[in-house]
Amino acid sequence: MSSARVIAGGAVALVLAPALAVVGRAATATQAWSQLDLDRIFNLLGTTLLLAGLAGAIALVVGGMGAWLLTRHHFPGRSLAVALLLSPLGVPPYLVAQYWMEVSGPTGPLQPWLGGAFFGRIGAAALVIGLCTSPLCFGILRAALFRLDRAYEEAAAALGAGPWRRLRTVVTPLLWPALAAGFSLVALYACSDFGAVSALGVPTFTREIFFELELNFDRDKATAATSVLSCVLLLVAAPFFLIDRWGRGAARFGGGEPRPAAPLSVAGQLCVWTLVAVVVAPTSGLVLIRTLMLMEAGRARLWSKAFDALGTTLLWAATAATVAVVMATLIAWVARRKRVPALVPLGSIGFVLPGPVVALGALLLVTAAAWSRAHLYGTAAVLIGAWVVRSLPEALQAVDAGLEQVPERLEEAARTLGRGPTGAVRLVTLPLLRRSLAVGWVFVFAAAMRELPAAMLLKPLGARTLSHELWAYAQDSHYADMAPSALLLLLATAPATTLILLRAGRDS
Amino acid sequence: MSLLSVENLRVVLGGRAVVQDVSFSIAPREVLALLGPSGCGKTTTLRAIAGLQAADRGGIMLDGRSLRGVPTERRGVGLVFQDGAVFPHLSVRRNLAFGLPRGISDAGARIDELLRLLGLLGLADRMPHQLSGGQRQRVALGRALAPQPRLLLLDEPFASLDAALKVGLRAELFALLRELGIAALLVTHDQDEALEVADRIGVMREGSLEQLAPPTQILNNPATPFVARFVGGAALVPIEIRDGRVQVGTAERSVAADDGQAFAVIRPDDVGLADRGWSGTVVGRRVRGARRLSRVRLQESGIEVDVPGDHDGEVIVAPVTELRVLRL
Repeated sequence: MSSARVIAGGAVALVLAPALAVVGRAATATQAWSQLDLDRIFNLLGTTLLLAGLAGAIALVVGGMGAWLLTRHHFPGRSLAVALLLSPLGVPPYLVAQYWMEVSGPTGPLQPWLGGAFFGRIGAAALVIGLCTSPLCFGILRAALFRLDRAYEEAAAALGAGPWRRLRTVVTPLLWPALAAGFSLVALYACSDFGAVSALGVPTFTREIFFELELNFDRDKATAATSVLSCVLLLVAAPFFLIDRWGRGAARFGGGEPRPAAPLSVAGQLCVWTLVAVVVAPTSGLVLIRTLMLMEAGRARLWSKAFDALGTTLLWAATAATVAVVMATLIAWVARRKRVPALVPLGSIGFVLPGPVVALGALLLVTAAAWSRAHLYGTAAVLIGAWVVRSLPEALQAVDAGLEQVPERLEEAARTLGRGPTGAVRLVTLPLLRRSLAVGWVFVFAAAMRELPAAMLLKPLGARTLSHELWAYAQDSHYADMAPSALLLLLATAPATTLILLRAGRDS
Repeated sequence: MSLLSVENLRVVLGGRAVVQDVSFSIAPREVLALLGPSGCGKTTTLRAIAGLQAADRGGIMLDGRSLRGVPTERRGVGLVFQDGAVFPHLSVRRNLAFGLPRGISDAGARIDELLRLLGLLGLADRMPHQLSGGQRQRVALGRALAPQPRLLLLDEPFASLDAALKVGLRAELFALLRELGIAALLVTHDQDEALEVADRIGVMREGSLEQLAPPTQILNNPATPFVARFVGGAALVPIEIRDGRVQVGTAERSVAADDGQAFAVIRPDDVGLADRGWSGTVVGRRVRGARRLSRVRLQESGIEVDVPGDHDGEVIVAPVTELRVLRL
């Protein structure tokens, strides 16, 4: 049975390969290091960290307020408010940023702000990313609040602490790990975001790596320089990754009797709906309404191009999702059943690898050998592989959580009843995992459908993904032409969005 | 010839020998109970027999055939887990059919027979979550019995059931096993369970088998102080045997044992109030089942023994049965 270990280890090695290739390239790029422009690095570092900090703070405030108001109180329309607060997850941040540019237009109301000062642009990018990822904070904090034993707060109240003092002295300290996890997760997203910062013109590490790769014709010099930048970026992002992992593990103060939620005052309800408006109007609401408004201008040519891109993207994203779920199942199963827990965090490396960095790693690997240069370079397989690496964490999370609910006993019982190890997995574990596998598949599929930078860097010549289509229109300021592609993208990722909303609905 | 024999079994988990040098055998149709506190290695022994836990040393033979290297699925022993491990995604009928060899002709009839034997008629198409805890455990038992194993391993199969249900299902199961001629190895921490159903009991402690004997012998001739205390909750009163006679406080008794230092094994039924004997003080009273017991601290040894009845103050206690002696 060590063969399962070997196969899972091999899968993890494949996932780690791009990152290792990048680090290896950087290690040998002595010239690039010596030519490193420290001023530029510090500027990028400052911008990236400022963006990450602002976006994290925005998401934390918005998500935290939402979580507090919606887990501890009930009022008419609570489920609707939950759904709306989660809805920004359904739209890619770059689409939101592009619509901001579209709405503001060359002479629009936002133009002085978006087109102008550096701090205006970075603030805009932080708002787009912070609002679009606030559902992640909302989700983490909501789960933590559900788990938090209400007895602590009741004990504090019995000792004479009012609501604010309870929030400050009991709830916040106990939720500290969850707060840190939520902030770090959003900061990580901000570090690896390419589309939104590029649409708004904010120079971060990820954006610089992309353009260096895209525009520099001297391939060797470009890979050397971007490998060096990528290593610096990994160092910046790694702490956020570690804090997120730690925080989610530590935030467990479970137990306690469930208490009925308190009714929310009219003023409180007003707060909720204001919050909903602040989150939804500039993100999912804007994208949906603007897309439908622009639809009238849609011409047949645009539609046929959009459908072409849809077909291509669907096929590739579905392939990536299937591969990722198979790999995730294998890795998660071996990690739990064969007691190699390190496989799951190692397989989640894609979390800290922004799209351009994965693409760079894939390019380095593919061009390393003559065979792969001839047979793999420029094929969809490389892009699909990069998507798998990037999205495997989501699949692993879903499958591993599912596997946690399937006791090993059930497999052992199947063994004592005469089934071999594979038979036990096939007849017992996989049927019980069906739901988790579907969830993982849908999440990876949606992530691949909307992925932008790797798709642009690795796609075969002449092919276009939906995200690339959108990007191209936005680059040429033909914002109105985005509508058909945007609508198809939203529809294709709608199952993932719906799933998120349904799960949230089931929890509350 | 024995059906199963375990020789010098040793299992190391996390650098600790959880089972060390355990040897025993089970005859066809015999029911053997492994009894001990939690963490004594009894479940690990059972898992090693099932092939779910690798043994570091020692041999396990089934029907004279070594099980070394034989995977769980080809060992042909049934196993019932504490929580049942009934497959939650399969109906009762499909759970029962899971272990039947593919393509046997009378599968339906065999399952119907099992449903009848286990009192599950009418529940065949239910899903596990629609069953009560007791019904689920019946399904687990039936599932293990369906392939007609010659040996059934039972890992605390009644521990999660409430008291009344436990006693009923236990009696039914072992009657059924005897009827079907299936040998069983029962792992339990419940001495009443072991004493009631087992032909022989192996008492385990810290990975070793302390005594392996029929229930009456375990009760009457415990091999070690641990066995005496763990089974039947005996108190051990130090005595000295001289010329086949023992001084019991102010009384004297004869025993069939060699001279020297020893312990008298005292259980509640073994003692009563007397005119002559050990003097002691009542230090507490409790109710056990339908009986009242008084706890008496003996002056001479400081040992506390349970005496039937409601007593108070200073008393004199003496054995009312033949004195059971434990030699070290």
